Amino acid sequence: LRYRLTLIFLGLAVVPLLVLGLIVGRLIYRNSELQSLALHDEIADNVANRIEAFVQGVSDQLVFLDEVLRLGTRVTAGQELILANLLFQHSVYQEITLVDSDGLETVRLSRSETYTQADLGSRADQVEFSEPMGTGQIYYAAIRFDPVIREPLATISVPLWDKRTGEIVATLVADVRFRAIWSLLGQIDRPAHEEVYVTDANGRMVAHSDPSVVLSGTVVQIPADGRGGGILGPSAVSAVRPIVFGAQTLITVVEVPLSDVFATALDGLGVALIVTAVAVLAAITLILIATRSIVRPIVWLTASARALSLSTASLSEIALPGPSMRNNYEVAALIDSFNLMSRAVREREQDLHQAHEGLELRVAERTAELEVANEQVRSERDRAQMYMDLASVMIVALDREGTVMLINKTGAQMLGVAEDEIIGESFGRFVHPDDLDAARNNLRRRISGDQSNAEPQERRLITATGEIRLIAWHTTILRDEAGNISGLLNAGEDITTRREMKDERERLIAQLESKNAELERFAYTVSHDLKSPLITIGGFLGYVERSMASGDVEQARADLARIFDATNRMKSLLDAVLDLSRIGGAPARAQVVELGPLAREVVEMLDGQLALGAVKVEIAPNLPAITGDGDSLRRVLENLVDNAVKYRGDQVNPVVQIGCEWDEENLVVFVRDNGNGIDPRYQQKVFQLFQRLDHTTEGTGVGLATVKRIVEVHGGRVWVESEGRGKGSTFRFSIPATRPGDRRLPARRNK
Amino acid sequence: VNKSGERRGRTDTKSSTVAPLKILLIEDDPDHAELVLRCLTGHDVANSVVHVRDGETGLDYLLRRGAYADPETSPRPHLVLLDLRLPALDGSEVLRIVKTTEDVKRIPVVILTSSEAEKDLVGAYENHANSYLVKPIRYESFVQLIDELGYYWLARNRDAGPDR
Repeated sequence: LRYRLTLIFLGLAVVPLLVLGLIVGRLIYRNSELQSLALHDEIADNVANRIEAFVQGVSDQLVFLDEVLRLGTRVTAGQELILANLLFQHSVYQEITLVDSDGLETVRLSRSETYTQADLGSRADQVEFSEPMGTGQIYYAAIRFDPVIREPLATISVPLWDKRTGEIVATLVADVRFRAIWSLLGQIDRPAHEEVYVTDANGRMVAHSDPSVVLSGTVVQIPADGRGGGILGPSAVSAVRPIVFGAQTLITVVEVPLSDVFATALDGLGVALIVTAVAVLAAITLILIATRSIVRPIVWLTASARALSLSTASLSEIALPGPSMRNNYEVAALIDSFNLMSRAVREREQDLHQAHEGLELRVAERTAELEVANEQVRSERDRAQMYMDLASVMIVALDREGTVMLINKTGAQMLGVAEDEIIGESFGRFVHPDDLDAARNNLRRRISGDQSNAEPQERRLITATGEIRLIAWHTTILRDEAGNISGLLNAGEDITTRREMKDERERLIAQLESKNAELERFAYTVSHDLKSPLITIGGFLGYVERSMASGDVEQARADLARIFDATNRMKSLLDAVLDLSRIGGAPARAQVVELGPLAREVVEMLDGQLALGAVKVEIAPNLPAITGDGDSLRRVLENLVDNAVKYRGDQVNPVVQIGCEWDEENLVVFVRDNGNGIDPRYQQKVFQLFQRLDHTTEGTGVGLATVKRIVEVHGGRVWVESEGRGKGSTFRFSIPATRPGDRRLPARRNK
Repeated sequence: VNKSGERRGRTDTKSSTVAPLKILLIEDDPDHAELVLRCLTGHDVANSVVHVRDGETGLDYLLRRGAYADPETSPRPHLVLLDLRLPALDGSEVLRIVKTTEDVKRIPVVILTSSEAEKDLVGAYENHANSYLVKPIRYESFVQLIDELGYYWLARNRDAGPDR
């Protein structure tokens, strides 16, 4: 504060004082400069007047000659005499010439040269003649420098009148020397450093007290304000005065060095400086005193207030302000106010202390009450939690946004998380993504007050371990004290196992039913197809008997052949049925089966048949290894390839292709031929036992039924694709398997 | 049994000329077909039995399709003997088509099969089979059955006539 106040006061008092001092100093200086210039103006005036007087004197002399001597009317000798007189009496003339009215020189006299009659010429075309002749006035020509005597000369032409006729009869042309003025300048009373000189209109020096300055042809250029430009250079000021005679102007210059001007100004400046310094010193002293008187009480107040706030000292211990501080009325008032305030603070402090003690007491009471209430609430809650935890179902309370507010132990266990871990979380993260929308909609619907359709709902949950559980939810709404719906209370029963068991039961029933149906079909087929040979045998036996009786041995032999064939067929049918029944009985063995080598093995086994039919077999190189029963799978391929060969029809280039493709969960192996093909109407029929589409080809109608059986036991299915007769056919069977390189887990199959 | 008498009786109802009686036998088992043919031969009607081995061909004949398009060489039969278990097109399917085709549905169709299954029997009658006979295993029974069959359907039974 002290620092700032000092700065402010300095700014307010000292700076203006200094500025004022500067302004006064400058005024004083300027004034003395002006005074000095005025003085020199006087000198210049004086000089100018003298020069004017000089020029006027010369002119008057010439005019006077004219009047008295009537020069124009004299004969030449008389004129010469007069002029010679004039020239030698007055050193001011350099040369005098008399010119007649025709412009011819009649007399020419010079101080430095002698002119004869022959030297006289005409001046008719010169201005010093024509001008006075024309106007009748004295003509002053521009000052010229004579190259011989190297002096400035002023030419004055005076017209000479004939008093009687009133005509101009001659002109007197006189070259006047300025040298006279030089000495005149030297006589002027002036300080030593000053220069006084005269220039012509172009600034060429024409007169100076020192002749050499003029003779050296000095030229000066004085600016309008008179500063610099003169022969003293820039550190001088000049007073300028023009002298006008006729059309000519001369300039008088009085040049003063600035140091001279300063010399006069310095006295005044010194006084100004001293006054300013004294004023500044006084101001600083006053500032220091004022600052101190303002700051001291504040420092005291601050210290007191700090002591008060720290409460280390009681108020009475705080030192009272000294009398010096109390002198100031405002400060005294401030101190009084402060004292009043501190007293009030002390009183308040005591009140506060009392109030605080009272409050503490009440807080303690209330805390005790709350403790009791809390205890009750806690025990209530614990009991409720206990009930909830005892429940074997999951209990979850959700708020309006679906955030878990409460969950019981069973629920947390079901989800595989700790209770406090899930509270405050959105329950949605446990709901199966496919059920999430339905669950959210239901929550929104119930929260919004729509209580229709409050039946239990089944939803899947995903536990923390990623397991999917099916939960049947019973839901009721929760209301807050105001009666608004605040959330949902859900009781969820894990019905996963129950559902799985139910599904399993249904699956088993379906399987059993399908087995039954299959068995029925089987029984029907077997009874029918096994009966056929019996009928043949029975019938032809009767004919054999008759043939024997009639002695027709040939006929009997032929019929007996039929009987043998029938018994053979019957045997092979029985074998096939027995075979087939074995497949259904035993579950497939789980081996790693390399399909590639397996296919090649099959082709080798069927080598003879393939060669016979000139059938080409192409095995795809990408056949993988799968899990299954090797022998069974070999029979599948064998049957399919065998079929393809058997039903190649009249194909000239029969080709059988063995390959595979992958779908979502299965490997699909195909055996494709370019043979007969199968009418789409009978494509299902070919897999039935003893079913044959073509009675011209050998076979029992067991092969494809066997294939179907084996594939089904492996968990796959078999089907045939063909666009019809003559278009070839493709048999495909699927085997559940995971594509190599496919990272996904195989879909879980309910077994 | 006076066979010619029966024949006469039949011709009486139709025309004065003796028209040969025609039977279409649809049977895939060649042995069974032979048995049936031999039995029918005993009744002197063998020359008018047409034997086909599958349902498709049987229908071709009845509906006069393909190779059987000419009515002269493929006259409508007076009786169809149909086996149920046939390759490709089933006997029951053949029956259904015959009985739903305007031109041929009045021709008597006798099912001659080895099946005794309830479902085949019921199915056959539902498809308007005219008779259902099970092939006997014993020779005597077989011969007797065909004998009676011929007698009944070709001599006793009065049909609506194939060409009507």
